[in-house]
Amino acid sequence: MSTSAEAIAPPLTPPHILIVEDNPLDAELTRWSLNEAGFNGELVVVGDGLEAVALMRGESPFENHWIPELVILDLNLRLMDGPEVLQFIRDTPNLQKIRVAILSSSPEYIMRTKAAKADCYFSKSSSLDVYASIGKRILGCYREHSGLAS
Amino acid sequence: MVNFFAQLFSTDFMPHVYCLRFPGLVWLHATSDGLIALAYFLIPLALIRLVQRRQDLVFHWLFVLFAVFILSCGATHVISIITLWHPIYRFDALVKIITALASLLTAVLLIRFIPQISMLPSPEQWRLSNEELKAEISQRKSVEAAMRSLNADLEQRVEDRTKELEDQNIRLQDLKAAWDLAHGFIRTLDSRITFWCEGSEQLYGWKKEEATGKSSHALLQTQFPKPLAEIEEELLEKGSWQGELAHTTKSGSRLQVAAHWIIRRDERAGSVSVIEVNNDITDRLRAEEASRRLADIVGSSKDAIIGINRDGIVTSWNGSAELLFGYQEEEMIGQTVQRLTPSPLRDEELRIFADASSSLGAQRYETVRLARGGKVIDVAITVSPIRDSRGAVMGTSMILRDISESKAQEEAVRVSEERQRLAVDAGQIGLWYLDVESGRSIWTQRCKELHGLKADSPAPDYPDPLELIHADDRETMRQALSETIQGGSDLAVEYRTRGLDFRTKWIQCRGRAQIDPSGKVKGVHGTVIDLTARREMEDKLRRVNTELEQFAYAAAHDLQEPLRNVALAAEMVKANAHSLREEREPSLLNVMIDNAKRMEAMVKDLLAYSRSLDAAEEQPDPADANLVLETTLQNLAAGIAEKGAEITRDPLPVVLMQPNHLRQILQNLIGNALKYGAQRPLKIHIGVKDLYGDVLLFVRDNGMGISPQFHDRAFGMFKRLHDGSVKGTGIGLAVCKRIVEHYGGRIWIESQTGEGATFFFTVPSTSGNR
Repeated sequence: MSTSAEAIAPPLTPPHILIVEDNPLDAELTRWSLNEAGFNGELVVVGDGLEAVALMRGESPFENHWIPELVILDLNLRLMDGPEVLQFIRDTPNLQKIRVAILSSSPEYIMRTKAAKADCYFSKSSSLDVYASIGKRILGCYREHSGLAS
Repeated sequence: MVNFFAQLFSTDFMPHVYCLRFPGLVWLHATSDGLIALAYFLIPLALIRLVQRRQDLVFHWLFVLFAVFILSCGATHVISIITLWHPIYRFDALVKIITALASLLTAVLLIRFIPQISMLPSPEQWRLSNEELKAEISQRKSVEAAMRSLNADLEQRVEDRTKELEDQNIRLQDLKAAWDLAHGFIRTLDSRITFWCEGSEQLYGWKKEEATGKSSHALLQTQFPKPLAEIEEELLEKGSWQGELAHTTKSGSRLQVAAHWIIRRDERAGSVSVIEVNNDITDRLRAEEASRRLADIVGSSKDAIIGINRDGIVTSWNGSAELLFGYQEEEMIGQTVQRLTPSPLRDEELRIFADASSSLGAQRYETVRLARGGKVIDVAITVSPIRDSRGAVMGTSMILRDISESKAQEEAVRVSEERQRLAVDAGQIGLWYLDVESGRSIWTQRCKELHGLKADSPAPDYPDPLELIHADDRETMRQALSETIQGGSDLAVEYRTRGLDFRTKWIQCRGRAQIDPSGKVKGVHGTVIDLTARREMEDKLRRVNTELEQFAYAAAHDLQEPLRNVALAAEMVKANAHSLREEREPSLLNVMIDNAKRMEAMVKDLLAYSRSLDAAEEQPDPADANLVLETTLQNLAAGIAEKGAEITRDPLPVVLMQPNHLRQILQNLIGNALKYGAQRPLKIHIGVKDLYGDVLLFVRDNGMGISPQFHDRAFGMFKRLHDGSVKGTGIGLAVCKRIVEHYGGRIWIESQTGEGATFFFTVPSTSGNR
């Protein structure tokens, strides 16, 4: 019963989230904020764009890994930065359903300039309160762009 | 008989010598016979000679006969001599017979002709008759002379008369010629033409046949100064009339003539005719008119016009001269023109006269003259010689114009032009003009210089100037210029030159169409300015701007990151909100410490970056790269020792870089090689390479290498290709790039992951051509 109800009702949160973030504190706060907002699916954090791409391609060390429905992407990364990862996602046919939220300390206009094809943009905050609300807003964005908004 | 002749010369007889026993007698015979024979031979010779000389001798055959007869006698005597010794008596007899016959014949003939011969006149008779003849001849001659004298007289008279007639004829011819010159004709009182001379044919165009018999007044459409009746009355009364008439020629042109009419009465025929002589005075009237007009012009001229004779004396002085100089005509006529000349210029006055007299045309001088009261006036003087009919200079005419005002204007224009020229010079502006129709250009020296042309080379005609423009900009210029030429729009283009003198320049070219009254573009005036320095400055500014942007971004973003992290961690500790607070606390404190330190490092690096070009000189002295490397290696000695790196090096060149700049580059590159060195023994080589004239320095290591996709990003500010396991803020390569680019060079990486990396950078050197 519950299994069928779950199957029929659209999920309120994505089952799999990938966070691409090289700052451990930001990664931890994002995860916390998502959990606070009710996310209970699977979540992986990678520190660089190259790793993110490897994961989505199922390359080593991510063979047979799940593909995320939502990617939370930092802009400034070391080897392969956020815009390049976004470009990869948008250019790859079987990744078209992935929603991408940019989370960066850059001003929003820079985010929109550098990563125009993202779904939504969020600024990292130095305030814990603001950070706490980010998870909720990211999930709201996800729902909106997946046609799941209630 | 036959026998006789056969023995003609036989000597069968005894010669005489035998008979004449006495030898003396023999020789006497021989000698006398010989002398007779000689005489008898000479006489016929003389006779024959006589006959030859006197052909008129009558009976000369008688002389011949005598000659033969005497000759035969001579022969008998010769034979007598022979027969003394040779007895050829037969031959002797024969010759005697012949002689006898000849003698007989002569005698007979002589006797027979005696009556005839005796009739021959004697010389005395001849003399008498001759004298008679002479007397008669002399008489005849005197008669003849008398007749000849009469004849000559007659001839002389005929000749004189002929000559008289000829003279009269010549005089008539002269009269006719004079008459022809006078353009005359003869008419009756009621104007019917009876004689029309050649002069009239020439003057009026009608031939003799055409004019004769016609009415002269009607033919010539004569216009009279007063009614014809009055004129005729005067003519009849005085016998002549003079006046001016207007005539019309056959071709229709109007003539003014001075007419002279004379009445001629022929008493015998009882008729009256009028001789009419007309002289064409049209030209004279015109000349008078022209001269009157000229006088009017001189009189009304605004210029002072003065006539001066050869001695420098004023002979004419017009109204404007009175106004200009303040002297009346009567004051100046007869005065020397020197009165108007300031004394220091007396020599000039003489020179002007000399010039005017020597040259054919008018001469112009700008000088000063004195008016009444010593007032100095600026004048332009035009002097031309006045010549007599033989071409000799009689004097000069002098036209003087007051140019005080135009002098002042000229000065104003000159000052303005000078100002403009100074501005153009100061602005180093090149000026050009393009004549649209001919395509001809005028370029100032500066304009040529800016396009790499020599100052003395001719300005290139359209479209050649376009060839002087860099190929990439040529089309833009062509387009803009043709818009100006066709549409009259202003021209404003910035282009690069082709760099004929190996220096490409940035030129700002502006132009404005010169439009004629019909609206057509006649030409384009324009300027060119050297923009190279400004362009270079702009490029530099752009670079500095980019740097500043990066700087600003770094300050705004990268520096903010650690701060934000510290703030968050601190808040987490304070809020105690985190469920894992207990176990996280030391870790949060470490986050704060790490980020604070990182921040400090970044600020330091940022400072280093901003100061990397401090005290940069415009033109650094050459520096020995080997010495710079030495210092660098000493600074890095600790790191090298720690890694146990093996350093090798080429001999390096002398470079045109400040040593501290080169040291920063080498220190960052070698430092990076040490920092990212692999586990195996680390080798670092510092080398030099020549690449198409550029001098390259490079730092090669056998470290972990960098994937090609990251090569560009490696030089960005605060870009780190490695995670936190290696210390660094990601500013070292940005510093290197900044310095290399400051020197107009390039820096790049050649590397593959795991195969080590080589960093190349160009350096300005004394041997390179940059």
